[in-house]
Amino acid sequence: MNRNLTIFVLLGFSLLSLFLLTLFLGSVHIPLGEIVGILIGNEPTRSVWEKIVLELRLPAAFTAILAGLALSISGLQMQTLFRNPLAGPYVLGISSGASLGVAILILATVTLQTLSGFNSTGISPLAIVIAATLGASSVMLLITFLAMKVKSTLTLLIVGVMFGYAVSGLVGILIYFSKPDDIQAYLLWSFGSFRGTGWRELKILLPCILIGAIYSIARLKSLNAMLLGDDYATSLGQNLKRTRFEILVSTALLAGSVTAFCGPVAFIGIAIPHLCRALFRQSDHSVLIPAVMLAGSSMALIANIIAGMPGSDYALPLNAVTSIFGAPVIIWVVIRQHRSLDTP
Amino acid sequence: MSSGLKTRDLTIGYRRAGKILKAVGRDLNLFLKSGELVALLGPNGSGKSTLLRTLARLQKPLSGTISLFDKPINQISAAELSRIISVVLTGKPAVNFMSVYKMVSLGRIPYTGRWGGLDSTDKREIEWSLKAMNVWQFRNRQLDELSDGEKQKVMISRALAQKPRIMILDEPTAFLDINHKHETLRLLRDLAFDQKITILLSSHDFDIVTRIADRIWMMNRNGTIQSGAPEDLFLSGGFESVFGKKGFRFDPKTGTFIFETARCGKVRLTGDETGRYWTERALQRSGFQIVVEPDEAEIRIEVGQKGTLFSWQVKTTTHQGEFDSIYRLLEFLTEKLKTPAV
Repeated sequence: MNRNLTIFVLLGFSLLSLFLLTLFLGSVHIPLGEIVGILIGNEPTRSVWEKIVLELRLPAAFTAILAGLALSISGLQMQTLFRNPLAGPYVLGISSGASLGVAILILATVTLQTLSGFNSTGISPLAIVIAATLGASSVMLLITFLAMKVKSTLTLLIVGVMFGYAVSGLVGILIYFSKPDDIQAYLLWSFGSFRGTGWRELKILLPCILIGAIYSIARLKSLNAMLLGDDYATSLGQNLKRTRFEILVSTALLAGSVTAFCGPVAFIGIAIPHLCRALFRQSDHSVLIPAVMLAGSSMALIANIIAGMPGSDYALPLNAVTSIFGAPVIIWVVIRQHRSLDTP
Repeated sequence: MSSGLKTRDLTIGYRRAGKILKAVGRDLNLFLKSGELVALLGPNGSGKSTLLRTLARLQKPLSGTISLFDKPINQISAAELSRIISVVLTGKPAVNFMSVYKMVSLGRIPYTGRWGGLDSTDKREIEWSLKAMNVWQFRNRQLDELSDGEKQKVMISRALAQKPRIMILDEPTAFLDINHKHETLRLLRDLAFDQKITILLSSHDFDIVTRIADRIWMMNRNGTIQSGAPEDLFLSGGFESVFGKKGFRFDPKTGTFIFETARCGKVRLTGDETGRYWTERALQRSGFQIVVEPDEAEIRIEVGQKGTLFSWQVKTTTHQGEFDSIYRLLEFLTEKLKTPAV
């Protein structure tokens, strides 16, 4: 018990430090004291600092925290639901659904512009968010509908993965027939970023994630029962169909909203739950849910800092950073699992 | 004694797309009394797991009804059922990071509140369940550090924490070494006896199970079940009809299978009773026939005993000798007597 508490305190401390570090690092140097001053409402030495901190860095930090915890929770519950270590928030085609939405939007706009001969400057970020949300939720609707029909979770998992491939294929076709200039917005979105979300967008993102997280926390007991498999969970009095439906809805909200605003952010959702299980040596969701929230937020902040390449004028695509850090974690998990699970 | 579980004309099996794919058990009328230990025996593929799953409501019957304490099982809520029946399934749970205590505490899910917090009653029940299965000392260990036998006891402990009136176990002794087999079955026996928990288990461990079960459900290949005390089935030849195969026959006198081999000779055994029992077993295995009439015998063996030491004196028409172990005796009988001198 003490060990757990220590890890929680450390995680909390790292989250706080990373949060401050995110506010501190950037192309403009602002002293740490000034940043803390701005946060508690003091007048800064230079007024532009206040703008940078409050309008740019703070929303980005909040977005990273929210996205990190949302993706980690949905990854955790997908892994429990499918009893598969490689399941994650995007396994059911959420990201490909969102991508399809965005791709259709872009193609439709371009076609309309060509037909009408009217050329606008581009597609607004809000339109992309709406298109991504629509795409993700229609895929999730299909999958949840399937989940009510299909009994086996493994079948559902395979169907979800295949569905994702099929949708990605459609996106590929759409991109193939588009002019490079037209798909600029799509490409930027698909690189992923926590920096494009301002206070206005956060007002939509926050409630989505709150509801999704509360949904998940309220299902904590069912999630624990599901660790033992479908039959044991049923014999413990759990209504599997309802639980499965609720977990899927929660995942759609969590991962769907994050994807819409930040693009498909890879690997955080898969990797963080594994890290936390190993760290706490536990599978109990009453420990893991708060743990992945803290660790996921921290990891998202780290990825955001690295993607910003502090001290340089360049920035990296967020997705590249999370993949480079996430993939080794997955490799470690697979090798570990082969040692402990496959050799009974 | 009330009948806890009853089935009427129960037909079990699998269906696909509404159509019956395969019925493995037909028109079964079974019952379980409280506090009895019933062992379900039968060849592989006879439908033992299907029956257990159907009785635990993990699978729907093809037709017929099941009632629990005089109530149709369909009318019992999932929450209520989870406090009456608990299960131990085949296969090891693939949970990576979990302590023994946590695993057993999952058995309290039907009783805990929304967040699954454990109150003093829950903790008492968990402690009792861990102690009842002799795994209390492992409570802080991780599951993957335990042996198969210890793991199985933890899984039974978990089922026990559910405070069931009926516990259904699918092959709880498979994969266990002989010590854990005996221990597990003895602990289950005690639970039925002391706690009046009805225990239904399937098994292939014929010898042990027929010794500890109050009743046997013998699943035949045609999908029917013979029920009775193990001894009834021995006497009625119920076991032989299912398990008997060419090459070995069932001895209703001892309740064991005897391997039939080509007859080598007729032996008459005399001497110490215990010594005679084991000698007889060894001789039968090696293909000798035991006879009672002195005139019939080709070989005479006298088992002698001095303290804990046994000796065997052999007399045939051509040879004789004395041996200090059954192994040497058999060596002599099979090697020497085969020579043309006989």
